[in-house]
Amino acid sequence: MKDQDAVNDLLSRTKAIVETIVDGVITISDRGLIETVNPAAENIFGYSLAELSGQNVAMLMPNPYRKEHDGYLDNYLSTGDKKIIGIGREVTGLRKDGTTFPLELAISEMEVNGQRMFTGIVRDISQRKVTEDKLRELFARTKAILDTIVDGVITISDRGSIETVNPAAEKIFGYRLDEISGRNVSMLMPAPYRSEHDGYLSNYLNTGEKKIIGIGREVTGLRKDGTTFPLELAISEMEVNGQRMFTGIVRDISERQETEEKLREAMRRVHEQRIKDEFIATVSHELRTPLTSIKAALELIIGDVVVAGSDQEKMLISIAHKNSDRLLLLINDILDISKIESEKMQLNLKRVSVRRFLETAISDNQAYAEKHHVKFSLLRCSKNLYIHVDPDRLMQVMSNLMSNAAKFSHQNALVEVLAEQRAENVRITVRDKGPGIPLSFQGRVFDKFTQADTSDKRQMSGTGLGLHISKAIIERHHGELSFESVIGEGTEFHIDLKQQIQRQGNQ
Amino acid sequence: MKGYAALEKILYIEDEPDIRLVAEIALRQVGKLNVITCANGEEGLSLIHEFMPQLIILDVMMPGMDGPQILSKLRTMPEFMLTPVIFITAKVQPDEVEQFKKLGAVDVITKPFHPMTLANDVRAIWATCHE
Repeated sequence: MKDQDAVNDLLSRTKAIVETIVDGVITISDRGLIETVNPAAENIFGYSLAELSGQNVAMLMPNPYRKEHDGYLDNYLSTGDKKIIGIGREVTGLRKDGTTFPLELAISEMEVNGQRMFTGIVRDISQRKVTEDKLRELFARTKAILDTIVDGVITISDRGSIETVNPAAEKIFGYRLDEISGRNVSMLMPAPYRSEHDGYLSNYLNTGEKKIIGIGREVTGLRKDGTTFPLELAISEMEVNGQRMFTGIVRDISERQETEEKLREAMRRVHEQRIKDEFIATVSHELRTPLTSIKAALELIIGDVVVAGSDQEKMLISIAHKNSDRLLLLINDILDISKIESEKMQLNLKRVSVRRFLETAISDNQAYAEKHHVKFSLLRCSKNLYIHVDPDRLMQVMSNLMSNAAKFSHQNALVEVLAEQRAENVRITVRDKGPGIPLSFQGRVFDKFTQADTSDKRQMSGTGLGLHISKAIIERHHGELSFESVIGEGTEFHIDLKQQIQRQGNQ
Repeated sequence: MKGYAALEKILYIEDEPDIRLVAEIALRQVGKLNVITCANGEEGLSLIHEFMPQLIILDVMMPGMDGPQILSKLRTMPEFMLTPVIFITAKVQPDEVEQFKKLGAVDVITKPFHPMTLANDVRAIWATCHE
């Protein structure tokens, strides 16, 4: 009886298992007739055991599988060729209500009391299928996006090796995925960025300090053919299956930069043209002003408006004469500007004694002193100072500085000229005790056609080009022209030129 | 018989002393006009009420107040709000001239001007102001 109890116990346990598991269990005879179904199978197909018992199992399959099933079974029984037995696979089930559904089926064979039987374990996988389909669709979408976007997408491992690249990235760099997969991403960068890259990555992994991650920036890329190109790179970090990875989005911006460069070039040309136009308009204005006086004075004389030999006639002749001089000065200055701007100013360099040069400057410019009732004085200058300059051009600068100083000095004031050695340079200074340069004008002193606004007509007689030309001449000598000015106290202009060291027998 | 007063009194503001001198001879001796010349806007505006010019000629580029600034100042003064103003200038590019007219000048005379016909040119402009 004990054995019987044990058998009964095993039976009831097996029954309990079969009745409670979520998978459907169906046993069929070797003729395909259903013998038993568990509650899960009843539930899956919507039939009761009574409805299924003794029926051909093919009733649980839709066409065309239904027809194929008897063939399978017959084939197996006659040939022993296991087409489906022992192999789990996905098939389609047919419910009582006529609906079909995907199911996973595993068939095993057994012998009970010498009778061959088959057990089918079935699992409704509709839900899993839906999820799988969704994932598949999502994957397809993502892939389609990656395959078609114009930006290159490259993923690398935390050790810098390339894991994936999309077609755009292949096109941008000229490599196929299989050529670069697993290689260090720094191969896509030219030196010196290449060597910097590993440093960036290990620095980030060690310190967590993000130098480039999350920040779009312009870098240089290296194509397979060895050419480099500008690219915009944005790097982001992600975790896939616990593994840290980086995604780089790259965009070839050669074309954009080319367009930007062309645009800048066009704007630069427009700007240059505008400056040229403005210069021509200003020159036209500056030339017309003295010409107006000359032409009007002469026409009034020719038109017999004034009495021949009268003071008024003399005054008109003097106006014409004075303005002719002014016109000439202006034309010379404009020619100088033209030479400076086309970089055609030739220098005739000579070894020049500074002291002798300054003495000549003072005597040559005496007319300005007399005109403005000031006195030029050579304050100090060592005998041993020499410079290597074009004396005519440097004299032009001195005349400009000295005439300015005279113009802006009070009557009977002293305009001091001095030279001193400053390290390897010689500094020539022209110092006046005039009103000083207004602060608002100091920034424009060396601009073309500029003169400080002043109501004193005496100060307005220049061309407005002198200091611009002077500065250019000194810079052409690799020197510097600068000034210091204190309102109410006066102005000093400094010419700094390299000193020429005296050599024996070279005088 | 003209339906408006003949032009007699002109104020001319010009910073170039030589141009002032030749313009004075042209307007006064050739044109028989009563003209006062000034070197800048401040001077001109200080005597304008006493002189009461019928027409004002302004140089455009001047240190301090330039021609356009003097014009806008005049337009705020009730007595000179409608006084015809002519710009006289060495800025002669067509777009510059157009710009000066837009500022409200009745006309623009370019430099160099013709001293023998300057007064008649100004009178002709005066006439167009009364058409």
